[in-house]
Amino acid sequence: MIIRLENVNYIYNPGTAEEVKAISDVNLELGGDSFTAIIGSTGSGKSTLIQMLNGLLEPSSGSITYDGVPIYKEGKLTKEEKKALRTLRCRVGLVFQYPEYQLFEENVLKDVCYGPKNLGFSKEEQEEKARAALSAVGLSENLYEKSPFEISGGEKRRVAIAGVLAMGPEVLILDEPTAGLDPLGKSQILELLKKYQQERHVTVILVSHSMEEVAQYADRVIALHKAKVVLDGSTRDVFSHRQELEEIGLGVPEVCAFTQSIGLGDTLTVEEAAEKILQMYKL
Amino acid sequence: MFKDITIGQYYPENSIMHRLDPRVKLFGVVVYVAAVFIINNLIGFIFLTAAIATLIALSKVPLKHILKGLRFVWFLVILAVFFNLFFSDGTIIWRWWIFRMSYEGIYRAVFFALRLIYVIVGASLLTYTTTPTTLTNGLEKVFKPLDVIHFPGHEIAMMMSIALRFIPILTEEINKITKAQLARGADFDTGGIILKAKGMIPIMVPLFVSAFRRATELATAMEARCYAGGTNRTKMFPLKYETRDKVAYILLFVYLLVTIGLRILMEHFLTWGAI
Amino acid sequence: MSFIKADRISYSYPVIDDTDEFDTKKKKEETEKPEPEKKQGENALKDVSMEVRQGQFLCILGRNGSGKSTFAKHLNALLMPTEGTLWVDDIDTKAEDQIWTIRKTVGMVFQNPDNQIIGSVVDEDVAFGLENLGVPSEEIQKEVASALEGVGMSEFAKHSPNKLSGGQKQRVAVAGVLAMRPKCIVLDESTAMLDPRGRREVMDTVKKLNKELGITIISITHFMEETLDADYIYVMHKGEVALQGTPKEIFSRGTELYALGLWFPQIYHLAYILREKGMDLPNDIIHAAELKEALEQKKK
Repeated sequence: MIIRLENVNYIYNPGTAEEVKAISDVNLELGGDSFTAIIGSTGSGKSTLIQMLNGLLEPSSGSITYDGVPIYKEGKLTKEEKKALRTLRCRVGLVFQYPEYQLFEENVLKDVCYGPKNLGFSKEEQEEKARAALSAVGLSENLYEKSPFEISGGEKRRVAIAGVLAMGPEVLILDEPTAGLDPLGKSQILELLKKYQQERHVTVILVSHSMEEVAQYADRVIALHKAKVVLDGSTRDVFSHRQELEEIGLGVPEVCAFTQSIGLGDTLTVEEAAEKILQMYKL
Repeated sequence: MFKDITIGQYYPENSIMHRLDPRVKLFGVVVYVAAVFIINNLIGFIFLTAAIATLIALSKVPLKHILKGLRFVWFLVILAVFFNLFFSDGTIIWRWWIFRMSYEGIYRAVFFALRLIYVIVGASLLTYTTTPTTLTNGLEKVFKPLDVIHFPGHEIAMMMSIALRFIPILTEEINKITKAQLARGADFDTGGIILKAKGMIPIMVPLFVSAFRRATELATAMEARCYAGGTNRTKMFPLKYETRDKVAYILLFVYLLVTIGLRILMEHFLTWGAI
Repeated sequence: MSFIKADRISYSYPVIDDTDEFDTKKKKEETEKPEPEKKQGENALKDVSMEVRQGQFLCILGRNGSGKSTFAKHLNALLMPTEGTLWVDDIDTKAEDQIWTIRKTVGMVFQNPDNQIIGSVVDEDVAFGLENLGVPSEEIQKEVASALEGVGMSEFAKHSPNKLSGGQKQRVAVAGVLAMRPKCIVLDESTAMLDPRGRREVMDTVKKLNKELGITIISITHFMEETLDADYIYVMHKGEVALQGTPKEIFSRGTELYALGLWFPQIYHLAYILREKGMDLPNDIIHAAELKEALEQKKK
């Protein structure tokens, strides 16, 4: 699926003293077989942008189309359009920050069934989809019957992600999915996302504060600053703009800064840096 | 949904009304509400209007802001007026189907509406000019003498101030959870009332879980900062009466006496203008 | 003389026993404390011994559920060891009459900024601890002003905490502890919910307090880069101390760290790979400058 944004603006509290322009004149094309990262400091408009992508927020102006089809029309939405909007929210899955706080069912399996149930699938289909999603996030069957409130933090996080995966999204957006997890928990989540993306050739959009994470996993990076897209390109390309990134309060991964400082140019991962250094020393 | 509620929200200004001790203002509200119900004649109302108008002017809160806050009680006022106007007995001047209108009814409707509006304006002036914390400090102090009968004045005040701090946080939380469930295809619009109520479970369960988690963590944090209830606690800014507060007390007493006196006077000696 | 000394302490979360009428309410509260992976009755801490000297900057690393938060709660007597003894400033934390002295000596800053701010105005929140201790009003005002200055939040004294950023909220929480003039501040994953800027703000603030006022800092974290400047590190695993040493000593035991579910900082990782591939580098490189220097020396 291709999501196209044209001249999109989003204004909070329009016409009041607290008017804030959260997204300003953004043109973007997202989707395809890609692991995309959205970076930007707090308040740059990232969370507004991702909520617009799955139809939770309607742009103040501009258009968003999904494979060429717009979802918003003039005037009040009809019943059918509301339904279309709901279907869209499933085609473009959004996992919020700390998603484990949305778990509510009596057991893990039932909770993951909630999404497919809302889509009107039969009981058997719900379970089938839920089981597939739970195995995609690497949770073992002995957890399925447990209450989502008595499993560990990292497991809760994965259940919540499975809850969105179970709806079979073509575009999966995650807002800081690794926040608050320990290093092993973090890499488990990122690895499973990468695997999911590569196996299904869908779009995964990751919002992250960690440049190391982004450099290691993403193939495309979009940097936001003060409601605007300031950088957009391949990961290597974006991280070659060290100065611009630092000006907007971000930066490059530590290892990239290091190889730049010793005149070896940009590197994205530790492994790549090691290779370059070894080459230099002809080892 | 909750964004537009201006009634009761502190209006930052630097006025004598803002600086008055909260205890004086609490007492003032009591006197004022009592006066509104004691008054039964036109002179009293003119007197009352003059008083509240002066207080509003002193508070520097724009009249427009105060009237805007009334928007949410208009419905109540109209309802009360409607019943008083069309369902009162007395000297009937007009009758249709089950509706009847009488002189007494008109009087009652007008003055009921006035009383309601006056009470709300007066009480909201208290919250416009007093921060929630100062207000709870005032309440705590007012209830202090009741410690002897083990009335939990401090605990109530502490609960109120914590509730006030967490209302915006929990409102935000409801918003977040709702969006998260919408993103999982939830439908909060269609269906009958039972279906809708059932649809609220995915919001209510996470909300309660989160509220309990927050409460536990807050309790731990309070304990870690040496909280042990109200005994032996001091205040960074203890409430202290200034000259202006003493003057205000005297004025309030005088006003209360005059209002009562006026009513007695009216009932015994004069008949015109009585309600 | 050590400032904090844990002598083989163990702790197990109490099992709720309905027949035990004694203090059941308290026990229930404790079992509900946020460490869901802890089963009741299971040992959350096993034979933990630690020593902290006054003025040290100490880090405790470990995965979620490794017992580090449970240990932190012992440091200001929110929990008491079921076995062994913990001394804080020469006071046994089990001495009930000393509990307020201990809590004054060791201040805690927790993870979620929203769930530890009590006041609805910044300065009132900072004053909370002193008010609880019954300090005279003028003194509270003075201490609050200087604590807010200490964390660089003076201009926000009259603001509502709800409008502050995460990093600012945590600095207010630090000020609330600082106002009580503690000898030690424990950060219990206080940066976990912050963005990089907020994290830097908080870490810079506590580092300053450590240097300028000599306040002992015990930082519990899983951000490896926060531990690079620490004086000493303890790594916990399944309720036990698995590793301890200076940052260089800890990181030079790379693979063990990896096995404990912890990552190393990128520069250390880079040096590690280079060594594996046969490059002759010292095995305690953790800072970019050190690696740069080592590489330049090799050139010569």
